[in-house]
Amino acid sequence: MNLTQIAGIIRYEIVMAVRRRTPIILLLLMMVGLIAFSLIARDSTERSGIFAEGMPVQINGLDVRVYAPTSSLFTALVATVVIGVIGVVFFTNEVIPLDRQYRMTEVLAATPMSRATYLAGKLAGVWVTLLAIAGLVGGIGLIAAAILLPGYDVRLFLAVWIVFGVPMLLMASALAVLLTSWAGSRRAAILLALLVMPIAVILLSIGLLSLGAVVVFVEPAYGFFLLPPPGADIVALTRERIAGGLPVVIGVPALAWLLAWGWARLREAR
Amino acid sequence: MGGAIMTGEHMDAARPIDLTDSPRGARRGYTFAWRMSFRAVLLLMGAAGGALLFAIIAFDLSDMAITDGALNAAEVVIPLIAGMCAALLFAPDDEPILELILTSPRPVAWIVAERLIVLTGLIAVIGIAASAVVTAQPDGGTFGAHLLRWVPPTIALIGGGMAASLYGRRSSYGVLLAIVVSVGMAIAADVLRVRFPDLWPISLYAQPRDLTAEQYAVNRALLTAIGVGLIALTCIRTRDSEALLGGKDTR
Repeated sequence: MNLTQIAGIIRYEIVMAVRRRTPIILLLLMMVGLIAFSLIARDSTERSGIFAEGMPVQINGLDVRVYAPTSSLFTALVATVVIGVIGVVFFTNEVIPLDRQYRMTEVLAATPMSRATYLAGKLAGVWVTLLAIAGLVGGIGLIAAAILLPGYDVRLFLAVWIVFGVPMLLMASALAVLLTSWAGSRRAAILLALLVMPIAVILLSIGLLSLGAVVVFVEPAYGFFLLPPPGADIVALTRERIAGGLPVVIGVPALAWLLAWGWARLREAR
Repeated sequence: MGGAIMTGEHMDAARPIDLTDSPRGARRGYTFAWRMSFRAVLLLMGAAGGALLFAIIAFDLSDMAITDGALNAAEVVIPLIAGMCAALLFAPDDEPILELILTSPRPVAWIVAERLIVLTGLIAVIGIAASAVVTAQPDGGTFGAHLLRWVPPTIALIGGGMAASLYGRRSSYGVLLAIVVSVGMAIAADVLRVRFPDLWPISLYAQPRDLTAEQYAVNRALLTAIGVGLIALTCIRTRDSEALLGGKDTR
């Protein structure tokens, strides 16, 4: 692979993404989602009567004033990642099909660039853009959550966002870019993206129960969503979950790469 | 520029059409391209329906429930497919020869209209058949009541999908809107009803048992009005060639 060529494609992809307004739309989508779901989760927590007079001040060994906003934040973060993944699938699927629609692939075929370099450049371009968006959402989200859910555990936010949220967004974009790379037009890419979306959502649920379980390492009490059997060692259970889910979350995008690259090699004999 | 244009259809009759003097007269020569629209919309519906079927099977196999069991399939699936297909009907950036289309004397609104008519017709046939099957069941309710459950949300999502694709210039906006609004409201129907009771006028999946008869009628009428309004807005927007090409709004 030629790194200079990859760097050129990355730069071009970032510029094109900005011109298509993709970063700002995804940023707004996820920020609105995070704020809206934080408000809904906060409302649900307050209605549950958890702060009422006579209720225990500790839940699973944690102060209720920390546990309640943190569990609300966890729900809001997961919902934001779901919305983000759906948005990413629909806004990154056109990256390669647009080149085909505008006949750029014919120009590229005349250049000494391998399919692997082309695919890697396109994917890296999308990932760099997404990492910037994820960084912004994370940064602004930390402040927004401090206002909406005062007292939340910052460590949980960082753990969920870095270990679960960002990898899920990258995984979804990889699936969208690679599995729609056969499409000859933007419209065909969207139709293929409709097939990619359920795969991404199922992988997201697998990721939640494996990568999302990282919250147990922050505080075992935050692993409430894992529904551990009574008396089980939740830390050991989490390790098992991560070890079981990680190969699937990494393996499926890797398989998508092989399919996209193999198809391109077969079709264009390069 | 006072020249006359002879379209293919009018050459035999040797009747020239003067576009500058009589635009109304010029319009008389246009025809609908039904066959092409049928082909395009059937392809869209096949793809969208296939994708939805794939999603349902995939979610089912992975034990992920999608919607509340109280909502029947027709009520969720028909508006969703209609919204997704409507979003794919026309988006300026997704029409590869938009400049060429705009130079044609046949207005772009006609293309949108004929595709929309075909889509609406196909959806109506599927929906009416589904309603007939559901109402034939012992607890199926009346045919009219079942129509009311899916027709207004379908019109609203068709309008929303079309408008989002046209104003956003890309089909992905409309498809995303249709999926997020439709699936989101279906999954969170109960939560929305309890937490945000004031949203009942625009709830896509409001149930007669949850509202008074007057509220239910207002909800259905409002959804229909929103859909029709957005469709009208979309058709009006297509008359502005400058805006369609990405320039400033000239109307």
